[in-house]
Amino acid sequence: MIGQQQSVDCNVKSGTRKAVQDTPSQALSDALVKVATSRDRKAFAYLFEYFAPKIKRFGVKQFGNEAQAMELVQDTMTSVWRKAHLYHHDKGAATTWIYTVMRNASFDALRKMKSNKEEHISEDIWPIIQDSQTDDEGFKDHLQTAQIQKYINKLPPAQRDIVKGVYFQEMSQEQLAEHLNIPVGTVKSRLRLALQKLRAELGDQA
Amino acid sequence: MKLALFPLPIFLLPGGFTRLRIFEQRYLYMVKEAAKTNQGFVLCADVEGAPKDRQNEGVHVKIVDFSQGEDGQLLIDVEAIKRVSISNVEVDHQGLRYGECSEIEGPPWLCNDTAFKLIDSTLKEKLRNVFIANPILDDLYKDKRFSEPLWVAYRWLEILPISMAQKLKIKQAQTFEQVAEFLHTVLDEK
Amino acid sequence: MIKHHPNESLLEQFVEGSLPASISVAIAAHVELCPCCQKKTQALEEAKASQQFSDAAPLALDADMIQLMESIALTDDVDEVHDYIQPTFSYQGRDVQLPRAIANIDRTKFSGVGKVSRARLLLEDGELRSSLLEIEAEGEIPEHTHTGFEITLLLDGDFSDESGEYVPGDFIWQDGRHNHSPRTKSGCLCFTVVSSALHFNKGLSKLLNPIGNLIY
Repeated sequence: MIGQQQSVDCNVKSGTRKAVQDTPSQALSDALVKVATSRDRKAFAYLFEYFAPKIKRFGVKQFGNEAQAMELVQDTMTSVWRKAHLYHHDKGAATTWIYTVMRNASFDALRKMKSNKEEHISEDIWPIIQDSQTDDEGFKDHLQTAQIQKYINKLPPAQRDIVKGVYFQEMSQEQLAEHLNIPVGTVKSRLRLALQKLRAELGDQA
Repeated sequence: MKLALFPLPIFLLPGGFTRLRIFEQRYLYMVKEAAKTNQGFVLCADVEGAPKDRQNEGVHVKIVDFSQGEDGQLLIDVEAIKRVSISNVEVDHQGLRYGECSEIEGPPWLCNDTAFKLIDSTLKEKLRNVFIANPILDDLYKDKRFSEPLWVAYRWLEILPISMAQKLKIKQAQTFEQVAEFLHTVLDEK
Repeated sequence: MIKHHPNESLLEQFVEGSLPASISVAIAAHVELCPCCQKKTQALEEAKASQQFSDAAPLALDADMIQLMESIALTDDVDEVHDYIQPTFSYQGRDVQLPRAIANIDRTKFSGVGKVSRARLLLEDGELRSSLLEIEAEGEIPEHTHTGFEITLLLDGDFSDESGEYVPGDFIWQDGRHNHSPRTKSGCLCFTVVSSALHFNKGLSKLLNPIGNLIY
């Protein structure tokens, strides 16, 4: 049984990697390291001049229009600026690293066009560095909580409350409203009022 | 006292119980150790990202029961024993954090009998009803101390539907009056 | 040892990011389990990169580009990273670690009949559906054919069909020509991607056809 997309061997072909003479590999790699270590804007400008037009060219081919190609340039080069510290020159060329950053941004953009969803699953499919993931949320080491929260938010409200009751010991606004026999709107405004009063009393300290 | 730290954004004060779901290897290890030594561990919101100048606070908990979730994951019931301040955080080879913990004595606010009297029968009865209406919660608390004003206030702060940040602000209030006032604004019949 | 791998053409499209998300997840999971395919994808990334980025002469930047560059470097903020914590997944009393791409996508609860149960990944991907599939010991999926295609990636346990036995990491691609009835002796966990059987879209089948000339 061999499907056409599947193969029964895995031979890494060697000796096919040609050094591309035209690419200023060392200079690019040095610049990327400088961006990482000293937030060097000159080095970034050098990278930008080298890569941005090429990324745009790739984007035009990929998306068929200039506006989205520019977005790809923006997404990719923003990641290069903000994630340069994740690049390790001993693991490969700067061009390869930036290619993968561009590929990820382009993959997410295509997904967004198709499913209209703002998501970054490329980070899970092709982690920029192994064993790590980017943390945009600010809270560390709570993967499990984040996941549980995400899951809870997808449940129908009745079930959501039960789960919250178990894991968070916290009532929902709806439960509290029911409990106090008042509309949810009233619960919300009372909570707001109570917090305002407290804040007023605590002044700047809170 | 050196204790393992379990980072979880949960608001829990002394006398509070909660059920936790444990599935990461290092935390399973932590639970095993805690059960063996009977020392418990510390729940804290965030030990790494916190500003250096602020002392990290956590709550020292002991395991009171074990069970298994539908999906086979380990559930533990813990009871909060005392508030602690955490310093000298270290990380072991499996990524489990330990910190030097010392007890923060007393409640977070200035308390006196006048203030305690503000926790009236309305607040107590309403809390009693919350327990009756929520069997899981009711089950978790073997020992319910409705006659103790602090206990009542602590439990209300834990279960009210406001954000963690807001709860932490309330904890920073100066006097117990302010806290009681807050509860009355939310819970009183108008 | 893993014997079944995605072929060259699939790997190349995977590296380009031109495959649908579900298939990319399946290949990423295989690559995580297969050191050989890891080397291959790295080599392909290098080749693709030099294809895109080798012409040396920097082109002049227009005003828009210069503005963009300046706006990006306006702040010194960096994106923080933290260690990836691989969650443990338990099934049938066994603890396993799911490949990252699979673990990080939300999924439904497991539900099913008899010895087979499925948890669907909440991944919108046209007519492709991906799931975690759990089969208890001595369980079997009744013989079926595919009008579309089906990818099965064995993650844990044992699994066999008419063509033989598979080990964790094996990447099995079947299309309409195959008849099979997989079974397991001691229970297993798989990741599957199926194209919805009735509407197999021509564009997609074209996309999945080998494109022949590789850069090697």
